[in-house]
Amino acid sequence: MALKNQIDALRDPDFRAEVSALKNLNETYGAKGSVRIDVFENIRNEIVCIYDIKTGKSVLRGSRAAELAAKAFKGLPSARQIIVIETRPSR
Amino acid sequence: MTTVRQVKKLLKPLVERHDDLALVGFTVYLKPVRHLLRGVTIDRTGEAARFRVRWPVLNLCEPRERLPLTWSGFVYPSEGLWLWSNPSLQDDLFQAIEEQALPALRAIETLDDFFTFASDRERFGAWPFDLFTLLRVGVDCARGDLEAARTGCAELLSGLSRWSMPSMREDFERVTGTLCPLIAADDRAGMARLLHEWEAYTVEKLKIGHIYQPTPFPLEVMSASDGLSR
Repeated sequence: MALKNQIDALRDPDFRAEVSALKNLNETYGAKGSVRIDVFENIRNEIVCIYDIKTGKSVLRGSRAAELAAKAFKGLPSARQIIVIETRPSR
Repeated sequence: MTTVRQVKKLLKPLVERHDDLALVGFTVYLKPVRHLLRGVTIDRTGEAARFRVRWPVLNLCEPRERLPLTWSGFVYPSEGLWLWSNPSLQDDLFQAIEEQALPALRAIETLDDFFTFASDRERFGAWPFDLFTLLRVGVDCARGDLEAARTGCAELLSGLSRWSMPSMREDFERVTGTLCPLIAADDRAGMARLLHEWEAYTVEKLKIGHIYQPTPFPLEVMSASDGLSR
């Protein structure tokens, strides 16, 4: 099962796959101009983690990390730390 | 990805058995729409084989071009995921919507109800509505809580909040440049006129004019000395 399906199957509102962000977090999927966050985790102590899934030779670039963090910052007024992490599924 | 045609075919029978529902695009709305949008949305995923189901609530106190899912709950299947290949998808989905979403949505009737729902820390820990100063000024104003609206405007106009950062400039200038001066002048007629304009804009953009019922905001039906209505 794909990683995103596994995450959805957990039914945890604080740990979610395919979260779109534009003016707010949680726009409808694929909303025009939105940025898609692969996996979002609200740690609930004012820390939010964004996991950017990469495979092969692709890497998380600084500009992309900044874009993801900026979108999340707009939509998460209680978050004090937003951590963007490159993630590589091991299998 | 899931298409509007698929959603229409899937949800049409649900709309036919509830006289307070209307289907527009990917969303079944509760009608009539006054100052709140309440609905059940089929949210697409990156895969054509499945979708997610959310029940968002939104106030109409700012101009919007889409329905965000920011303040929403999830509708879950009894097991697994919502898959188009499920032979009993329609029955399972209707039961889940009728049990998980519609009772909760029908209970949210007023702007005060929306404020309470969307500001729930347990449900929306990282994005409770009351912390979105830029968004809540309009709601506070519409609810008639002008003291809170003034406090919000003062925070915005201090320039020290996150809401004045460049990427939010358009929304920031709209609120601080149009609504906040009316609040400062205690111009209730002006505030109401502006809020109705914003409401009408969203109604048009979301193509829900046929289920929209224009009504006065609480701001308009209370006297200046009433303060916040409950």
